[in-house]
Amino acid sequence: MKKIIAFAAIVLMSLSAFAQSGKSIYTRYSDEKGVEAVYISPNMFKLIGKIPDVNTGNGDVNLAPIIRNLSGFYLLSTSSPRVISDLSQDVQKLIKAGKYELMMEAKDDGETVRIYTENKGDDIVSLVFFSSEPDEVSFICVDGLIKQEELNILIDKSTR
Amino acid sequence: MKSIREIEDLGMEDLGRIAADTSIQVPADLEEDLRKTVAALSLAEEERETRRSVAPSWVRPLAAAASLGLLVAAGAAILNTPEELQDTYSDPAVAYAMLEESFGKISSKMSQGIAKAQEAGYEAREITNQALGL
Repeated sequence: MKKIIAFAAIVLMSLSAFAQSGKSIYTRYSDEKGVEAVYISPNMFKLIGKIPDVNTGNGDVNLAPIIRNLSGFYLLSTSSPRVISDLSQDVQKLIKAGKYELMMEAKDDGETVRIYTENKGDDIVSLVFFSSEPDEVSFICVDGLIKQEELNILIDKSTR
Repeated sequence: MKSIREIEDLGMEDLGRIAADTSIQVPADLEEDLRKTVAALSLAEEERETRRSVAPSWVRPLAAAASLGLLVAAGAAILNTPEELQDTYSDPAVAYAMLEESFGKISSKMSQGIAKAQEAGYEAREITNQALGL
């Protein structure tokens, strides 16, 4: 009986290899046909921070305070029906497996937008944006450390 | 009556003397009792051995399934190890433009949601005021 319990414990621990993350979802679908994929690495974020005029930009939005502490940006967008179904299921698994909380859900003209965040204290360590329409889905996952007040400023400026 | 320790300490001469002493009466059914006791002890020992060696019928298949599952999980973990990802853009300015567009989309949707919530709040307040005659 002890051996059985030990086996079961080892199997359960090894199942963590299947743990979902934004990176694993991106890796799974980035090479699929009909999928637009964008990945930005921590090194690229550092290079972005060195661009002289990144603080001014074209609009009112200053992303410099936010991107300074990011560790990964993953974007997937597709109109392929097969990928839409699989990607939607994987995103659900990611949300259930992690410590994400639903921040906002909005439905409008057939489009459903859900924004999830994983928080550490008052800061956001991971943000998942998932927009689904009947014939298209978009998945954005941003990992890193986003200060809540910086995100609030970003939203506030977009409102104007 | 002697204790077991005293009996164990008896020598061969003592045992011989006791056996030859005809005044000691042996209970008539002693031999039967001893036979039953020895049989009961051996049955108890056999049952203990049986419980130890024979597991329930479902244990072996479960152990086999758990072992197989462990092998499959280990293989999948090795095969599915994510490769090191490559940046989509080599130009930081282009990467920043994509970030700007994406965050703009996220914040736009969030602000739309907030606006709808505020609108619903105003309507709820209006309805409440009307109901209360304010």
